[in-house]
Amino acid sequence: MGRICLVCQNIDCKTRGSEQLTAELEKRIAAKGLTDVEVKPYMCFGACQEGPNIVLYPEKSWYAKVKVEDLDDITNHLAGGPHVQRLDTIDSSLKELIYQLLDTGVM
Amino acid sequence: MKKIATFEDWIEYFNHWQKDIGYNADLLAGYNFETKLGELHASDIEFGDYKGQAKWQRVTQIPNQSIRDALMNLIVYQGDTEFASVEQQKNLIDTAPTDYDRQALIRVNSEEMRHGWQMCYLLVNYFGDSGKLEAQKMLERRAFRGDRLLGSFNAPVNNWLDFFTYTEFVDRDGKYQLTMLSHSAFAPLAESVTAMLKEEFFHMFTGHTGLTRILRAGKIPIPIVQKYFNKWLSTAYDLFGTNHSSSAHWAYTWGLKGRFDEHEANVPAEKDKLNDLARSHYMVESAKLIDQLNQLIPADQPKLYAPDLKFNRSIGEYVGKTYSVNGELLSSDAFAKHVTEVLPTETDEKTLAEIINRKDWVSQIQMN
Repeated sequence: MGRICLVCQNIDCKTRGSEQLTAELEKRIAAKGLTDVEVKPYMCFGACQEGPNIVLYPEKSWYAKVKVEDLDDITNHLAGGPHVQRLDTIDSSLKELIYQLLDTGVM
Repeated sequence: MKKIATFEDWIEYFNHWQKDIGYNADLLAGYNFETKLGELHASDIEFGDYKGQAKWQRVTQIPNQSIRDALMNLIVYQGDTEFASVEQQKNLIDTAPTDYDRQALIRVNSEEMRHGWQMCYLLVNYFGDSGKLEAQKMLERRAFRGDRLLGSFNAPVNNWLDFFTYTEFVDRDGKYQLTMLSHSAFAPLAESVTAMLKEEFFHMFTGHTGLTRILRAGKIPIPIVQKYFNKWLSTAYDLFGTNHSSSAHWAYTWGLKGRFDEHEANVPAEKDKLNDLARSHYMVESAKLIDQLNQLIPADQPKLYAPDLKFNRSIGEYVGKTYSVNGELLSSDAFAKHVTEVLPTETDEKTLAEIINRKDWVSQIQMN
């Protein structure tokens, strides 16, 4: 299984620019030659107030309140760079619940 | 119970309330009930007659008693919904379709209790004897007795379709109310609801993903799902208040409760249409969510929709009127028949119970 960047696309996150973020992330990943990484829209992570959210899976890194200017750091992380600590602000119990949901592959 | 003098007294009362409604406190083990404060949108009052002045940190800074009373009323109504929702939902814990759903429900309940806790913290610590009394009364009303303050919060939540539809549409009203209060001139309230709002999104997520899983499984007939939409959306419309509400007008004038999009609004507020405006935003959002859900329904089946604004209303200009779910005015007899066709009946609940017993009615999620 390749790596996936899930970008939430529910109503609140769309109003905060998540569609633009998705398109821009795809471009930057392609420019970096990360052929094993796929960007996918995801309905919601239940943290819309902190959105737009990007979850890297199966690695399980959750970045919140992502802006276009954060994408280079996220792409860099995908290329082996450091975790982007400043965007890792979601409470751990919610993360755990959503990761378990993702693990099922159902949603 | 003794009279509440301190917040510690209120906590004792809260523990008593949990026992009285039959909520198993062991389920909440590890959950930390606490007050949480978020960031203010602005340190100065954002709108209304006091715009530009520093936000009030204490009740004694509020210019007059009418404003203090209106503010306390807003807090009481918000808090009442939080405890009521737990009373409505607690019976579902033992029938959760999966461990994940059970865990999600307990999380939703815990956070609703915390939100009520937060509102009572404000009442007890800022509003003197009258606030303490209201915080006590909030734990004495009961959804199942029908004496919670708002209609939606006295309606029965009998099954998991009820729960998912409720969290999709009634909790979404909560998002609007909390967002509007997050602009409040009373800083402790604005800070409180900002933190509550973060948690509210998981509740809506639970509803939307739950409905998604129901439609993916394809076992519950769409007409039955539609009846639950009619039940909860029509009552959710009421939660925004009446058209031309004077209390909404004054809450805005006094800076207590803003517009949903106050932070980006660039036109003056129409103060006599504030409730209508919020409800309109809500209806647009609900329609988008229903569109998403409809994409999961096979082409040969009916699509879901939101009932007309005039249907089944308990407050405002349409109360007692005989409008259909499509907004058509019916005779009294035709309406009486119509209601049995578009709202859940005992027969529907029995049918649903049989489907739900078969376990394949919702896409299963297994905890790893």
